[in-house]
Amino acid sequence: MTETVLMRSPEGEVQEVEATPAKIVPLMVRGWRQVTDEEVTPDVRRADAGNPDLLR
Amino acid sequence: MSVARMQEIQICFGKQKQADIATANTGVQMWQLRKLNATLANPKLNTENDAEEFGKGHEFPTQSFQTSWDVNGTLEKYLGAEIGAWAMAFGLGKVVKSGTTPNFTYTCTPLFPANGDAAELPYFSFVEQIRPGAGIVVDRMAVGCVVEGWSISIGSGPGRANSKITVEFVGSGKTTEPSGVTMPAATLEKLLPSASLALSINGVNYVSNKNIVSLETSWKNNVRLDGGFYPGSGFQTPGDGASGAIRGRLEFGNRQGTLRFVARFENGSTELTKLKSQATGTAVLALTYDANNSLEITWHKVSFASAEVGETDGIVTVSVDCLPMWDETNGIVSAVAKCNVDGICQ
Repeated sequence: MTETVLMRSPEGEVQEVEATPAKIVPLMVRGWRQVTDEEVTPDVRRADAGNPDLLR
Repeated sequence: MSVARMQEIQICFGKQKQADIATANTGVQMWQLRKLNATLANPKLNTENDAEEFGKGHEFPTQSFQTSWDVNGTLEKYLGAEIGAWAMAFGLGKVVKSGTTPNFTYTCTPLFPANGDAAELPYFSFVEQIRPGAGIVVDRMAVGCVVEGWSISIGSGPGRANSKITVEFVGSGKTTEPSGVTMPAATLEKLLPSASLALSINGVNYVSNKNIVSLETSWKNNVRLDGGFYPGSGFQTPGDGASGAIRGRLEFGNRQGTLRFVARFENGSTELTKLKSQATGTAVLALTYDANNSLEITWHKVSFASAEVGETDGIVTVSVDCLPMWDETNGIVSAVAKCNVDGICQ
């Protein structure tokens, strides 16, 4: 399985990116930075993530 | 008392970055590596006096004042996977970590403020000790240091000295004596030997054609040292205006990358042709210990700035200075460093 890292754009967009220089370096040059799981809320990473029951 | 010899010196420094320029690394955030040079990172106190002030009746000084502090140092080492990863991460400034033990991968690029990156480099603390404790000779910590530049040199020959790295660093001026740091156990380093080199520059594989003789590549941040002293930047002893000012920030200036190499020059060699045509291409150099420990540096667009035919040990060679240029997609340089150590510059 290809390893991924979470990257955040200067505008705040978060993407899960393949952890290869070919994918990461162009983003780093454009101001994207790595973020950790803790810095990203579940529903930002994945639209269907999180437990909606917790909201009730 | 017995004489202290330089072989006793031990150094450790921040493997992890400091939270900010003023917050020193703790011992667990540091690692001990060995070095080749005897130079110490001596804190330098700059002083001024009142010789030029009128009203004393003479031209001689009557008082001196502690004005500011400097710290700088140099690490010369055989190039290993660990120091390679550290130098790339702290020297270029931007890091993405991936992988798990025993294969951590650090992808490093320079910071670009135009795209929202910081202009301050990651900070680390640097500790030097000779007989710390009751018989102390030297035990001090420079807080808030950044990498001013690194230089990697690869040569021909069988010894470890054919693969070396030199890292220069500068500090905020803040020092702590004694350091209060318990020296961590020495890190086992994996040498990246010259014999492992893979090298492709501007479309030519200089290893497969057996023509590479030596190369040197470097990065310099040209840190704005005077810019670190600004109104409110602080003092060596907080709240004591007579203890000398320290820097409150260390920002890079106009950065420079270099790549030069010497290769055998023979029928069909293309260096002079490429100099005249100003052809551009990538330059990729890689050094490997094993699958988990390596360093690959890519200059994303280079042309040849000069190429001179000469000789090395009686063999006709060409000495080439490359001009690293900005590539619209990948920037100027990137480094992919693999090693067994977690948390570098995190």
